[in-house]
Amino acid sequence: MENAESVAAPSESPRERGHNPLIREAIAHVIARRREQLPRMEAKLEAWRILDRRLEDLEIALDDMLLHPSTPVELRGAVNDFRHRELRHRVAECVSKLAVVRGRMSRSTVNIGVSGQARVGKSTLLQSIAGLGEEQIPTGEGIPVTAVRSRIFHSTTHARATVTLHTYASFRRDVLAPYHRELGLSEPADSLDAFRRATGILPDETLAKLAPSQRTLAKRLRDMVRALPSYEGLLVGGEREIPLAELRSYVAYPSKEQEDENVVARPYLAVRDVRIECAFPRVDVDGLALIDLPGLGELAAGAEEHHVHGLRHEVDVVLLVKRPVEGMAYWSEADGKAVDLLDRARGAIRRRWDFVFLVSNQGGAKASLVDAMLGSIRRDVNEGQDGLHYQVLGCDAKDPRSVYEDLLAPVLEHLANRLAAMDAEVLVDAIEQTRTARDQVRLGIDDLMAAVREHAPEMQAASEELWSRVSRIQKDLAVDLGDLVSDLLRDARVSTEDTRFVAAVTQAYGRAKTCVDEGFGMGKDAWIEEVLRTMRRDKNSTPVAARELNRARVYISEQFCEIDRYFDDRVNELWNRIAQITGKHFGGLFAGASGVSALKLMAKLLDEASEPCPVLSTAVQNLLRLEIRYRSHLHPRVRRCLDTLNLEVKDPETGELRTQVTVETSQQGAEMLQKRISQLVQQAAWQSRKALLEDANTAALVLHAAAEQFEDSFIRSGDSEREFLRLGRSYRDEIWPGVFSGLDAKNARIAKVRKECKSVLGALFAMESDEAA
Amino acid sequence: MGSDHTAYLMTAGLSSDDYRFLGRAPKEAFWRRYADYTSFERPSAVVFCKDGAFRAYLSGIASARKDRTKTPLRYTLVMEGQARTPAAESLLFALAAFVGDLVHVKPGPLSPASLGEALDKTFPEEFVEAALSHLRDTDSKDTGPLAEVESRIEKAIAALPRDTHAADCHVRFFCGGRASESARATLVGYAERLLIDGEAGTILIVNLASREHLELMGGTEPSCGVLFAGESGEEAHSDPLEWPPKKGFPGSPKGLPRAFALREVQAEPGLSIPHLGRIILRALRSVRDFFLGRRPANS
Amino acid sequence: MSDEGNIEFKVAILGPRRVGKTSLITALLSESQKLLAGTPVSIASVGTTEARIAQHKNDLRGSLLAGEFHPGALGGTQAPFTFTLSMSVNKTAIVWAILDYPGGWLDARTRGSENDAEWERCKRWISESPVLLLPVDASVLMEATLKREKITAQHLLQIGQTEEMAREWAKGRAVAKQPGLVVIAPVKCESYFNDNGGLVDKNEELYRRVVQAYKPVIDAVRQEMSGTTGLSIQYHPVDTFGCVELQSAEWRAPDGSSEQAPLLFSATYIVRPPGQPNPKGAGGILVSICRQIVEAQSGKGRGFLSELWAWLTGGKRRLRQAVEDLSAVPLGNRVRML
Repeated sequence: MENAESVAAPSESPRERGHNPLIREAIAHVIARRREQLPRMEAKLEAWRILDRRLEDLEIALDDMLLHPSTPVELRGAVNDFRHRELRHRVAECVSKLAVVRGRMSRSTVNIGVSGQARVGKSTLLQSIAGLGEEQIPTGEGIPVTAVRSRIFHSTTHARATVTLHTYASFRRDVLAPYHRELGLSEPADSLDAFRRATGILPDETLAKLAPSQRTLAKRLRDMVRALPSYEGLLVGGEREIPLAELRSYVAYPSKEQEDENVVARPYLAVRDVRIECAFPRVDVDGLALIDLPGLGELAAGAEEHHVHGLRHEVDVVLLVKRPVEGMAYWSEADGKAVDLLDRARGAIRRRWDFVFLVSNQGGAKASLVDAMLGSIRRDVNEGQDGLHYQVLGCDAKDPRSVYEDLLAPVLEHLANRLAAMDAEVLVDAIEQTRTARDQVRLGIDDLMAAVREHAPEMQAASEELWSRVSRIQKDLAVDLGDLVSDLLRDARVSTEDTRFVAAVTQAYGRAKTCVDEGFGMGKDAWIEEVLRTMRRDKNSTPVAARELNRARVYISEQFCEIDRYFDDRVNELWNRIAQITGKHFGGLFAGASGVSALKLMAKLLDEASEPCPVLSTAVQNLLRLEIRYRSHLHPRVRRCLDTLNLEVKDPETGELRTQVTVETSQQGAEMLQKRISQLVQQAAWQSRKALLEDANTAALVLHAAAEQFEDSFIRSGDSEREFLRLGRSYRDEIWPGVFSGLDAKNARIAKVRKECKSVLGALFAMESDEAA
Repeated sequence: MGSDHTAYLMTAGLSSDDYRFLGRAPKEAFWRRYADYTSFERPSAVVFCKDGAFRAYLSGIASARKDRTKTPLRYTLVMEGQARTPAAESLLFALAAFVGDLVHVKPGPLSPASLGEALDKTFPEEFVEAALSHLRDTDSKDTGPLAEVESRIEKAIAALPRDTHAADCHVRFFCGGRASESARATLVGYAERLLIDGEAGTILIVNLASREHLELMGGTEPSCGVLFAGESGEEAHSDPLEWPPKKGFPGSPKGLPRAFALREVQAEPGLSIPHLGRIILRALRSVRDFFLGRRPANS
Repeated sequence: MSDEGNIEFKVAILGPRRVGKTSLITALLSESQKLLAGTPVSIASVGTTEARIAQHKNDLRGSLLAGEFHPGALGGTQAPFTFTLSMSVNKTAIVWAILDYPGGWLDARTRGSENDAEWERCKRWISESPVLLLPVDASVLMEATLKREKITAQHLLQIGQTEEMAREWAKGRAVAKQPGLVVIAPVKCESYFNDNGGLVDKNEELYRRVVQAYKPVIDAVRQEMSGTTGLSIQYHPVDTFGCVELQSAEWRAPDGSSEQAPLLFSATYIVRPPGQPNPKGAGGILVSICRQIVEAQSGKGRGFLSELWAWLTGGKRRLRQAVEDLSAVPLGNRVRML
């Protein structure tokens, strides 16, 4: 294998061939920007594909509806109107547009397409830029030689060629089918075997009857069949790495001599794509690629379409090569067609000169012819003003230095300056087009839905039934919740003592008392011993007394915190009661769940309803957030009872601080301290108990307030009625199983249309919200 | 016991804050006239003997039971009957125990001693509570547990020691302090004369009064023995009295009741004229008893 | 009335059992002595009252020394006792005679038939007293939080019986056209004031609770004496010990009792160091009584108070001066007129 180095032009030092680093950076920047855009474009594309599928579903539903004899005439008319809008076509355009944009954004290379009619030195130019030779990019004298276009990537790490092979299916589709179409033949054989047997296709006598241009095509087709054995084995799909030195047979037409042989090997027919990686001499731009475009005006079937498609998807700029030689040194009709083609490929890029460079391959050409050609271009293309539409770059394709300096360097500079702007133009154009299309779809759907509403009265009957049922539920709920609230109000106002609260407080008090009796959790004697030790160390009773009082204060608070369990029970009871009430009226909606889980399920269902009910959901969630805590609800009032558990207290008569306990550092002192602290703690605990029991109604008050709040927001808020209706519609069949199925049967088709319309709307909304985001 | 005597017991308990006789109550609160001289809540005794019959009131007998406020509870024992009967002997034993228990009296809550302990044995808490509840819930005074009260009192007294620690007492009037062993023994000896011999007389154990009140308390009695049993009555003396005290003597009914100061604690008296007199009197009695064939009371 | 230089002034107490009447009288005596210190007039307990008070002080001292205080340990009254406090100068004296009797006697069911005669005497005494002293256990009122506790408190305070007796007293006053002084004296108040060593001030709550609980009593007296001038109902909260404060209380259901049965109340008290009794608020009662006497001088009636005034005016100059001086002593901000 010949490696890239050996085929490269005489190498020069990087410094010499290095060009403006700003260009390199600018191009790298453009590529990075594209990558950033990619996810967004993919999402957009997906959204449009979804919209397309929704529209397809809608079409099916509409067909179904039209088939039904009961569908009113007016509705049929509306469907016709809707179809006239050709919305799916619009959507398809958007999809394709977005696909182009996505393709552009997904490129990690800057691609320079090289185009031109046969024999203008295109391949020579590519050789010069890429530093390749005949084996990789064949050039021919007189006849076209490039059978398969190559994509050539500047790579400093690899020197290789990767060939993508056809399968029969892709060969049939991409290669055979266009010939058949062009020649007016029936579809190509649908299997390789059948194709193999089709050797009798196009006998000479048939061939003779064809027009000359067609005759060439037919001949080629016949050659393909005949040469099958030479490439049959390659129709296996997948990629294959080929040594650069052996590439020629995969990319070039047979030579004149070979053609003369009876059976010619045509492996290129099995080749879909060739990718060459090698180091471009002189070039120091990462991710630069050359796309060898098939010669314009070639008589390959489907070539033009293919060409435009390829240009659009793969190239950032096109070099259209012309050679000022005898008979070609003027702007021909073919050239006109070529630029027309490029114009189509240009797409949203506004300026022609951004996308296309005319290249005059003038090496060794007569100066007069060069002048003639440039003059012709000036006159016929640029309206008499050089560079008005297209810039012309002259170079000698055979001379790598000239190619680099006269052609590549200016082109790269151009790209560095203009590529970002081109990207932006493409993007903006795509977005505008999709917006327009989206609005069109929206309008169409709105009109269609309006027509369905107007001309499908049975649906109205069903919704009236639903409405009456929903409002009955709301009223029944109002009654039951009202009863509950009154119950709770009675509990809160009438000071019946809640025995469980009393028990909870009494238990907490008991625990605090026991703790004191048991020597603050460590046994009286141990406590005294420990305290005595500390006092001796501190030579003072104050620190330990302060510490123990603090500890006791915290401990008592903690004991009373246990009341929270009682509060939790009470809150749970409220939840259970409300869950029971709602469960009773919402039928099977919360079936299987009860208590808190029923309420949680309810909140979830409200949130996830096809028509969400935020107000009701918030009401339920707020109810579920209800929490009564000793610390927040009661402790502030109890706290002052614990104030006496400080070593220093303010004397109410003198206003001065006085120390409550001071003892001498001795066994007796420690015992006295134990006694005194025990007494103070017992006292504080008792006062806390008293204070708590005096507020024995706290829970009842909070529960009542919470229930009332829930009732208010769930039943009486401004949006409640509307959301009840939404809830009813969203879970109609779960709440009233079977009730609406009769009505449904009649309206199933219309309902289906409505549903599909909503799906389309859903897809549109999703797009809008994405855009807004 | 027969129908000629009755015993009553008053106490309180968890079921009743108020001190009540368990079952029937004495017809007359004969002890009441000494209310200003003693706190009946603390050890006090009033015993009247007249015409061969006795009425006795012993109060401030500490029980080990406590009420709901953890206060020690007390008994009051009232007995009525004929002298020179087993009932009178029972009372003597009870009184002897009661007097013996006075040694242990201290300021502050009472603590149970022999008589209280004996009563606690036959009046356990369950019984007392049942009796008090019965009393509260019915009008009947001698049904249910209440019917057992007398027999239980009898049982309690029967369990007391037979040794009365009595000393001979031959005077008509007598007073002493509870801290004096001789005074206590003399009082029991005096009680023996009343209950066993059937003499007429009055026994008073009081905790508020002092000598100044002697005439007010016993001035009209034909014979009287007084034991001062206040907490500060460690005053140990045992004196036969000239009775009634002379006019104008402190404590005379004519004067304003004086604020009294308790005397300094005296030692057991040594030889004094009254004391010598008592020794001579006791010797004479012994000689008389010898000739009459009586056994000495304290043997 | 003594035929010498003495006159007896009867004071009636309507106090439930165990309320601490002896403590109240002890406090009254001790504060009166302070009020009269430095004057030629002295006040002292006389007769066995002194021993009785000494007994009480001994009990109290024993209790306080232990660093804990159980008011119950001071026992309950078993028989009536007349406390006599003599306010004297030279040979003349006003003898304040305060009749105490078992609280249970207010209720015929717990009185016992053997006490009927004695009770008649007590009732007579009460009806003759110009002053009706109603001691109230402040702890019982203040430590009751739950409904059943509050019902028990009413029960323990014997409100019903007190109302009945107070009505009788007022009726007697009205019939005799005599003025009357009712002193509602919450006792053991030291836990609810912060002007005598305590930290917490709950005096408003105490007042509210007392007035609420004693409303039937107050109303009964007012009704009965609506046509009579000279009725004064006063509120005198007393720190009977001054050096104790409530530690905790217990409301316990008696074993096997029904839901409605009254609870058993007991309280534990902390002794404030150094444990010296320091009563407060009882002196005002003496001041109020003296005011009643002084105010009676303008009365034209021939009742006891007028006689007393006449007696004082007849040569008992120094004693009269003492009564007048006492009546001028400010009552302090604890006392309220109801």
